[in-house]
Amino acid sequence: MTNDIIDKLILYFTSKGYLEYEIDKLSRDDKPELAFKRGNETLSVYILDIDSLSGKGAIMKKIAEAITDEVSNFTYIAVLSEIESLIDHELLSKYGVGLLVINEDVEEKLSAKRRESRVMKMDEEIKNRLKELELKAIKFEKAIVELESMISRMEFLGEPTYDISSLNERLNRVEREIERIKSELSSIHSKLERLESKIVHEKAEVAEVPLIVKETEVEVTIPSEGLPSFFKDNPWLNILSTRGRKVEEA
Amino acid sequence: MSEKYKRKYTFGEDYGTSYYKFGPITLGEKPEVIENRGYFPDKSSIMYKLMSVEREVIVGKNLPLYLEAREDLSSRLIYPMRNGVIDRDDDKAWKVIYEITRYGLEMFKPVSPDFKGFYVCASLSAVAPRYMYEKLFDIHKEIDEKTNLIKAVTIIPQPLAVAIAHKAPTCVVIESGHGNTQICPISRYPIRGAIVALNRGGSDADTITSQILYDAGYGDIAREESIVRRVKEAIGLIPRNLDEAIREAKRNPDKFRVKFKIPGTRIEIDLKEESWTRFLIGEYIFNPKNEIFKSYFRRGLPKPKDVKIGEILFKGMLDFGEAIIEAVEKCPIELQPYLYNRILLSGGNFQWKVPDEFKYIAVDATTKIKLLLKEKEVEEVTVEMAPEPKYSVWRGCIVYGYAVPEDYVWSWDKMEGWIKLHD
Repeated sequence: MTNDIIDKLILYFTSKGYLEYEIDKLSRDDKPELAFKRGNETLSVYILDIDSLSGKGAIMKKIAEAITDEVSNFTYIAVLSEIESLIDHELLSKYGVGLLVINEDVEEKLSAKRRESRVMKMDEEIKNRLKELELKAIKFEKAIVELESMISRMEFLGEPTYDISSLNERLNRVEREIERIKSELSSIHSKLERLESKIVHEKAEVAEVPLIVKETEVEVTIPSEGLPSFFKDNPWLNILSTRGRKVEEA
Repeated sequence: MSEKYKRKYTFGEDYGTSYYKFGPITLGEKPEVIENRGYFPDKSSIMYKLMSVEREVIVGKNLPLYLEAREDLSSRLIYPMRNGVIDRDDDKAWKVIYEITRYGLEMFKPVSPDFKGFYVCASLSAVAPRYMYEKLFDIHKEIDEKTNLIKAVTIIPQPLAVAIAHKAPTCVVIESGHGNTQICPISRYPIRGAIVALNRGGSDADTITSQILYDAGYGDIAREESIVRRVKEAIGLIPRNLDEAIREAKRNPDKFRVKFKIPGTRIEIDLKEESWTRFLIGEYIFNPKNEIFKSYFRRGLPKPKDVKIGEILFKGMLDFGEAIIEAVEKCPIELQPYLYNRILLSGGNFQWKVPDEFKYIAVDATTKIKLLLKEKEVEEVTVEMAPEPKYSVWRGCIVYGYAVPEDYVWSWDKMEGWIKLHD
């Protein structure tokens, strides 16, 4: 696989604000040739060049890998223009796989459709579970408010006009009920905290994108590659990087 | 610390009037967003004790779970940045700022062993007085003492952040939010002496919408703030020329007739022959001096007043064109053409729709600004709407925090640089 193709694809996606992901760090068996990340979105690229056509059924194998990629939100097949006629556009389109044709530049012939990744689905399940627990907590809150108002009403009544022993018994029941709800609430609260910290922890891990800084041909003070799109060609980078320097003061 | 370190650990904080937008550079294009508010629960309530709430103030996404009686909300639910400025002694508001800042930093606490603290770039309103900077620095210092999460901190004005996010070193940024509008010329630095502030924002369009609803017989709806805001967004139009627009709408009442059904209810608002009033909503934001508004002021519509908040005078009745000219003319003459050449509009108050069928008579915010300037013989102007205005301040903070050298020490004269909190 030529570095030229890889470089063109990296340039194409970084200009769209994606950061390159180090393939070696992916814990999957069927790794794509390139992987990118933008915020929480992930994108894989499977490359078909002349070398990869040597084996029998190589094209179908590569397309099958792309179609069954469950880890990325967006999946692309990248081919040299000479091979494009061998690719079934309809099949890719049906499964939401994008197609990039590489010539002098990279041309996006088919856009990839967004798919929920397995990781995100897990995240979604945790969120749903959290929501269920939150709803339960709200129900308990309401029950406690009702009990609270019952107790206030009893207190407000002052001199008991009821049978004192039956009132005591009711109060004991209410107290026991409050104790039970209190312990359930405390257990829900700790579960919520555990789930919340799990989600935060996962987010933090996702946020730690391995950054790959590539050398550029153009000489700039601060390279904006691998950074979000609002860094690209931003004249403020040079202005701000000279803040506090004597030249700038002058 | 290397450039590589800042690529991972630069952190942006935008204290907006309604939302707090925050997060590290690794989030990419969009920050995390929570409402800029805090809830002070009633410590004497059984709920407080049962929920084992240890904090004095609750912030973040789970805040609604802790809300209690509706009548207590106004005193217990605090929006600290409602008009961009917090009083020096408003302890509750500062407590909320402390909690949301800590909440945001702890949400992204890195696990990597190379982490030695974030380079935090926070952003405040352009009209924030010096004591707000001091308070915010103190808050970060206190958080760092308890968590070790902040290596260094700096604060920049929001219009500068907008200019950075939009790659415009020389421009005028107009930031119009819920309560006020700030016009800030920028030429590599914010030109603080030229800032003009207006005591007018999205809430004023809500006020006149409420009056229009009241006049049309919807007095009960006119009192519901959130419904009024939705009506404003659905029916409000900015006229190219108010008098012509009113004449046209009165000539073709059916064409301009507007009905709005409140989702999830049976209520439908129909302005019928009064539908021409939808043009008043947009005009009022940009130019409340039009003759037609005098009758509304006489009938009790509160006239936007000049008010002094901190050291800044917020003017009530200047139209947007006059305000831009006033700000630009405080700058050197040579610079003025460059400033007019790039005017950036930012903030929710500039998001106005123009339906295709009304394009001959209604305009968007950028065109309206150009027309107001043209009336005053300023013609060589370029006005742009900031794309994704909600995130531009955070993006500007990230670029600033990343690019400004770490050894550039904070200067109170220049109001920039880093305050180092730990090694």
